[in-house]
Amino acid sequence: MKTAEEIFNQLKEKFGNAIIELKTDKPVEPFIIVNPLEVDKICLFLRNDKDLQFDSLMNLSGVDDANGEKVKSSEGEEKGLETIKGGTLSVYYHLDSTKLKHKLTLKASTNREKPEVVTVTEAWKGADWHEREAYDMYGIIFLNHPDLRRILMPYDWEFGYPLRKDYKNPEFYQGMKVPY
Amino acid sequence: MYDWLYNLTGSEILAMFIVSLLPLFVFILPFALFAVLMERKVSAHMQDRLGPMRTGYHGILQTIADIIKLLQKEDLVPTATDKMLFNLAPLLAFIGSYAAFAAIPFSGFFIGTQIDLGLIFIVGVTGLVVAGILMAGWASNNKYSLLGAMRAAAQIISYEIPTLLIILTHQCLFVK
Amino acid sequence: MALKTEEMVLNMGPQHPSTHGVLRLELQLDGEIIKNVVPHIGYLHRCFEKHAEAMTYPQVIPYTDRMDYLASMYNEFGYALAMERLMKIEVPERVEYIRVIMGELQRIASHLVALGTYGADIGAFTPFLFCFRDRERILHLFEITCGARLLYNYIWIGGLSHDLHPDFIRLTKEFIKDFRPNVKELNDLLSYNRIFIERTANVGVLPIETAINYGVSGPNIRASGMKWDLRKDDPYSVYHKFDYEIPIGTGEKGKTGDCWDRYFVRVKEMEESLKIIEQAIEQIPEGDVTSAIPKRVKPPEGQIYTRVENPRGELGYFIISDGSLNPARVKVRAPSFVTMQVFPELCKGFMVADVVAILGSVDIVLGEIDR
Repeated sequence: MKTAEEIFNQLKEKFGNAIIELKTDKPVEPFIIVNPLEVDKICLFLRNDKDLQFDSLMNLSGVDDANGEKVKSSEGEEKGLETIKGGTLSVYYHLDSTKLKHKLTLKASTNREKPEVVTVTEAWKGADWHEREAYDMYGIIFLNHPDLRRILMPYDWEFGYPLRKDYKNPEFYQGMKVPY
Repeated sequence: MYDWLYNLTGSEILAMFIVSLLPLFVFILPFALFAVLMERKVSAHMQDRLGPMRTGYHGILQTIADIIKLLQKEDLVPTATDKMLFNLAPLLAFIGSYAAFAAIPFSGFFIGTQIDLGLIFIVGVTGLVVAGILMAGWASNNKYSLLGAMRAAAQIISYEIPTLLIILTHQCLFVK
Repeated sequence: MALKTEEMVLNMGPQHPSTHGVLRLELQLDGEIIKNVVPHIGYLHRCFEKHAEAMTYPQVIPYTDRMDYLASMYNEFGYALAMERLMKIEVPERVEYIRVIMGELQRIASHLVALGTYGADIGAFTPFLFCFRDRERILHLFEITCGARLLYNYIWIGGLSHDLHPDFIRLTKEFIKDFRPNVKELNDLLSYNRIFIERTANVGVLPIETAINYGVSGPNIRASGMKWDLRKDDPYSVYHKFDYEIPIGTGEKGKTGDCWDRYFVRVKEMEESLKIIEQAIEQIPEGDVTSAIPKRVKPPEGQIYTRVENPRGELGYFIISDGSLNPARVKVRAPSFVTMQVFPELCKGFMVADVVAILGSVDIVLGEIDR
């Protein structure tokens, strides 16, 4: 059983700059912030190392940290439309070891304009559909993903990514009126 | 029985009609009426429920109500099908199974025709059913019907060969 | 000269009596052998996560009911547990015991639906009605407690909405006494039936390594031979006070991890749940169930991930709060979502009729997958 501090120190020795920091101030669980473009190597190491053995990915979720600034665009046909500029979108990974019974949380943040995170499907095949859902809901592009397309929304939904904080429903979709 | 009827009525055609329709009305229709109703009521009681209860006394007239409803239904033929095969298929399936009743004795006297190779005739004529099912599956322009028809035909054919072997064994052992 | 053949793409469409909800399976067939299955989901997407960001914390509970509508008590249980850990609320012991009793009764009801509909898919119509007859008694117990048969809104953050009805314990004891022989009857009818065994043994085998890599949990991974149950391995509430076993699949009628094992693990789990309910009824203390419910739920800034053992697997709630009255993010990790991912692996090489058998044995609920 290892605590988050020990794992953080071990990862910091091996990967150096890719591990950014360990945040323990907020309740309830401490998490480790990592570089989004190196996540796959870190996760493969976490899975294969015999002291850590994180062989099960419990959860992978996209999150909109609402830390951008609201901007009202004032020209053209989007007059008065509120969008958010700046800020980050993050991906949280919750890992668990069935043999050694310890847990870990990782966070990878990317910027909102061009969100890109490397996929972890090499380490755990179950990450496939979770990443498709994060792409569908937030627009986070996962590099090297085998089959990145929308999963819950219709395949030709082109009006944006629903769970972002500045998402507005379109008026019409394929001829049907969207709001009741 | 054909001779007795011919003597009774004096015309070949009338005698032939009565011989061919008698098993249908005397035996098959009442049996179907009774058997379908009994299956619904008995299986319902085994499953802790009641079955049809509203038509007639405790649902006895349910099958008659079903027959009347089915006779009123529309005969659908989809556009992109092979119309001749599509309309011919149920005909073949019915002919194959009903023609077998010609050689089945319902009593010592009540029999359609007394041919020597009665048993082989029955097995041979019921082979037409397979052709009917395959025609229906192919002619309806539909992947699911095709798959279903293939499976049903495979089942029937796979049971014809053991049936034939058993009948042949029976013939060899017990018929002089 | 060889005949030219090509693969056929068949659509097991969103409207189908055997797919347990609106699920579209695209089967790529070579004759009757399956080359690939592509599941298409999203037909029941009701935007639970976006709604949760607009509601206050207690208002989210009826929404969580409607995700896995066959095991609603557990959805509420998971959410209430996550919020209580985030806000560090201590609930009275009577509340914990009642939650465990309701949860285990819900587990039995959900497994009865799974087994009954599985038999109906294979072709056995009678066990379906027997299972539903027993399930009616459980739903009656829920109805006298909180008024609803299927979607309860009963387990609140910090307690419960109503205390137990005065007749509840007597009726539950009668139910347990009547249900034990019914499990034996179900075994005689369905589990050891020759035809059922031929249809389900050696079909859809799930090896343990694949299961752990994909994240499969619950009865599906226990049937493959791994003893992994969140009630014992990551305990929550008062489960550590009871004495019960974890049934695993042993490969009795074929390979370990086939459909028959997944089915039989659920039957054995129902018996274990009966043991837990009996012990809980003996030990339940007195108390007030609504005393710890906070007037306004305003958790501190932070995040938490909690998991509970749904009848279908590991249900996880990931809640991020930013200090205000509405959640910033509620993510639900549904067990059926993960199982649907592993489903194409299970089906390769088998025939079309086996797809129905495998789909029934992994027991998915579309409300959970699509949220």
